[in-house]
Amino acid sequence: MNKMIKDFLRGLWDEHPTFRIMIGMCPTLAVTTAAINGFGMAVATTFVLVCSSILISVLKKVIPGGVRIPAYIIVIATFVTTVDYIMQAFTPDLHESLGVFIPLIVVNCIILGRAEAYASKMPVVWSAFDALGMGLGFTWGLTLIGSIRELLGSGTVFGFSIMPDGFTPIAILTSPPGAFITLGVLLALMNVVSSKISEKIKAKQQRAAN
Amino acid sequence: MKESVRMVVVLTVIAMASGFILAQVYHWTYPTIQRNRAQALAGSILAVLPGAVEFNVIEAHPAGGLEDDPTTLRSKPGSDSDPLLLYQGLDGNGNPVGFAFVSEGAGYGGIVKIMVGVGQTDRLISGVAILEHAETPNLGSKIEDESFRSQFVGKGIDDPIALGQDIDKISGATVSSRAVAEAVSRDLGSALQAYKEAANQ
Repeated sequence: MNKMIKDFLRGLWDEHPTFRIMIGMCPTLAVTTAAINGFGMAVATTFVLVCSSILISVLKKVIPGGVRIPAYIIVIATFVTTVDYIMQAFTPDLHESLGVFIPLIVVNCIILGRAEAYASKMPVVWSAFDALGMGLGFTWGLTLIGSIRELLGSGTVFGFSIMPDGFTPIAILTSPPGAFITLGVLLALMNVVSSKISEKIKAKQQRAAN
Repeated sequence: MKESVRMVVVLTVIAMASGFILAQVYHWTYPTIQRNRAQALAGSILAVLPGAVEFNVIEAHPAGGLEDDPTTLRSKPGSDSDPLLLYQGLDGNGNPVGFAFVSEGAGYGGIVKIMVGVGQTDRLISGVAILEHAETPNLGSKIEDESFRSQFVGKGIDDPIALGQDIDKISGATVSSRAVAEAVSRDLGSALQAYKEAANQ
């Protein structure tokens, strides 16, 4: 049980896919022009990640090592295409704004990375929690980047006007350079917070040792 | 030997299962996807034809077809297999209020697809709607703004409909603005002609 919680929490902070491992950068930079786009993309990715991690973990004994990568890709592509159809049918507006990035979830490094590094070696339940943690980490990361870019670039968050009337949107934040700037600032902030936390833990340990 | 056979069998089974699942999902979602597309199209037709509450589809075959445009890789609509579609808007009493047609221009991020509405009696543009585009957010995407689209309203076949003449471009988005202006002006003549022919029949 402890191990599951640990696996789950790891993706949310210590091994955060966007801010720590720095993988899956293509959707992170490209679709986060607005909060809803980042959130929608991340939820779709999380769904694919959890489903394919579970299935790959179930099939890990059946799939021969020599063809494991093509087998993983087929499993992942099947879930991605399913998500693509479902979004086209039930959330056409979101599908329109995410466009080509939905099919590109197939080649998202987070999913293949978790399949290869974790799900193909670990029991099903652990893999599910690992995938869910990574997915939720990706979700808060993309939603945060999207919210910041939308707030400063368009003056809204999730489509709601937040900024006062006199606010002039900073257009660069919704264009590609804005994605890099936002990501860089967030990475810096996260490093500051992380080092503060580890300093505190160290101080506590020292006190305990003394 | 045995290992390689196993590889082939496992991969084949996985691929077949994947194909089967996707076929099921496709069948399940297809009607909804088609309905969404039809709704989006109907919405934009009624939006560019003020007063229209429903519409007819007219399949027109203008002589010579529309102008071929190599920049958008567009084939000539108007042939038998690929007719030019005109959407005739009708008001509450079933009287025609005008027609709408789809046109395309080459934008900055890809093809810009638009719907153009034309009035029944004055033969002037009654509205322009953007159907699809992949322009830069907050720059080129401003072609969707009412303030840009409304510039086309009231223009007719005798107007130049060109940037810098009777259409003001969006600052920072010349290519996107031009894509819309060209899409409107290029097919307006042939669409008017085709509608006249269709009405006479």
